[in-house]
Amino acid sequence: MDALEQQVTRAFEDARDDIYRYLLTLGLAPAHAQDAAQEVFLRLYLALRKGETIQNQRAWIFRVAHNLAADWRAKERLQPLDSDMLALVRDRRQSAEAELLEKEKMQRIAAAWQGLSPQQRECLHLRAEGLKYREIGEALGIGISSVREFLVRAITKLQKAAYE
Amino acid sequence: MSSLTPHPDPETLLRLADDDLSPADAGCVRDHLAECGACRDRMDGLGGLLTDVHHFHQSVIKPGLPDPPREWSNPRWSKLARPFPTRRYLAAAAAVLAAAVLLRWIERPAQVSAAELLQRAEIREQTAAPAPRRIRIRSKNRSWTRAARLDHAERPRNGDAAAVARMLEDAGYPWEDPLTAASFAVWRDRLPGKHDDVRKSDEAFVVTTSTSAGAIEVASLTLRATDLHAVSATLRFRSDETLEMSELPAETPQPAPPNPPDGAPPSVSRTIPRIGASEELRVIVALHDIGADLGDPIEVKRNEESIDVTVAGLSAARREQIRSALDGIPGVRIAFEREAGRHFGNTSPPRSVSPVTNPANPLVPDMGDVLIDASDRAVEHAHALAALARRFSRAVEASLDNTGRAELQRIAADHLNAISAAAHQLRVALKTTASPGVNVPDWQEAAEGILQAAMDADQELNSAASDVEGRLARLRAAVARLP
Repeated sequence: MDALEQQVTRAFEDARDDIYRYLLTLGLAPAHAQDAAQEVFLRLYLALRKGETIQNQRAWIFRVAHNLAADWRAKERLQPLDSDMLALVRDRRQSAEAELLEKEKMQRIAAAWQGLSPQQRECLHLRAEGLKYREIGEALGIGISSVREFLVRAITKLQKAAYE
Repeated sequence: MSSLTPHPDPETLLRLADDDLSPADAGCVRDHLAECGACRDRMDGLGGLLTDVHHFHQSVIKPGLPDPPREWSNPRWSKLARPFPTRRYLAAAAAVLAAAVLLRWIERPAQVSAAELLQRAEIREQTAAPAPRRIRIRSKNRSWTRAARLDHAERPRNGDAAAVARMLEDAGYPWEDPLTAASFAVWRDRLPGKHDDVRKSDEAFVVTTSTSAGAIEVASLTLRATDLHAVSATLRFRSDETLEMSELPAETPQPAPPNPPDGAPPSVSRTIPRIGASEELRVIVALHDIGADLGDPIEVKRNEESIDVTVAGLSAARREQIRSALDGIPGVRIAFEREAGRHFGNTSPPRSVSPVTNPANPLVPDMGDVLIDASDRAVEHAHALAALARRFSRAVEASLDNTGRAELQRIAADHLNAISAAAHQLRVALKTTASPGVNVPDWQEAAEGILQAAMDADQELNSAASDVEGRLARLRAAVARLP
């Protein structure tokens, strides 16, 4: 295995679960999300093999994942299912993990999360994955000021829900 | 309050927490926090919330998502990336192989499972805006229509409808709202053994479940592909009865009667508009939540039958964002025009290049960009607030339900807060006094005055007049009128 292959394999092992779950939040079904996650790293391999310079690899793979999900949704003519996935999370949590996660604050955040716009949720997802505002903007194809706007509105909503 | 710098707004605090400020700006904010207990408390609160949100993401959202259906394998990337061999015989072999793969692909079972599809459809049903609908039920000998959903008290007591309700109940299939993914799933989930088949066409998914248990032998549910809405179902019973259920087209409102002649008593219209202020508000909220109510060339016009959203110019990504935000709102029709060559009443006018950014401008030489940014924000939000007030007067607001009124207040408060934050920056720079502020309940009445004040301030900032003292006085007066 050459050095490039090893490098991409390491990146794959480090981030495949994060990318897979990010793709789930974008509405892909589990089987599609797993295929798409692998496709992301194949594209990374091809880009590096072509000699492309990738400044921030983590931001780059999230951007590619976002674009793959958008292509898939357009092809399948399905709407983003982010809220649906989160509703599933809520339902599971209430049934299977209710005792563990019955903190009132978490419930209020979960309820407020449902009220966020898809863009606000995506910004929060990527922020939680450690991306900087500029990288979030690049991944989503929007300006950094829009990222700030989405985040501050999302945080304001969550703050109201959690503490007021 | 700090005597040196203004209180940082929520965005600034968030950017400080996320290390998004320049070192100089971060230093200023930290200096302020060192002096201002109130802002320290706000920052502590924000830090606590960010910790909670991180915890929520890591321990609730991510673990709650399903695990990958297959074990991860470590592919050989070089093999996956390798192109087909170019030699002729290998090319022919590859073509045969590709054809076989294609055939397998075409004939493959549907990727999505019945359970997953039903679950998605069920959640969509739960989150969709409630709308009355009617269904037709056809048995072997009869056909009738009914409301799609009946309350328990409305259970049919006699006739075919009562017999069907009994049959469904005996089969473990909810009779109250039978043409839904939720009811189908209730029946399916209780089956001890079953076989599912999912077919997808351009228009629909068809889920068919057959079983050897219970009174229903085979049931199929057709879900519209675009939104997974249940449009028809067929239940085949072991008793040889078959029930077909299908959704009836939504009733269209009657055209409004002509105006009565003078002196004639007005007739009572039976027309019930399908699209009202609530739907219009949903459009405005959706646009607000993606920041598309602050100058994007978007026109929203409500008619009796539809809400027409016309978008001019904008990038493909932004158009897609707008389309996605408005998706699912009843009655919305979006038209994308290539160029922003028309007037849009709700948007702020094009901004002139500010002479204040020119260092030679003597009005506020040290604060040029900051002031212009603040003024721009104030004008943008004031335009949006005024447009909102024109669209949702007090009378229209009163016609909304509690949720709608709360949403409207939220948007107005967002704009007022943004204007206040911008005005605060302007006041600090101009060393003028604070405004008494605007109560959110009064925002409709105040909106036009706020817009005028913001535009007056903007005009003075952008003026090329040499009367610096006069401009400063007028600017201070205008800023003092902002909330």
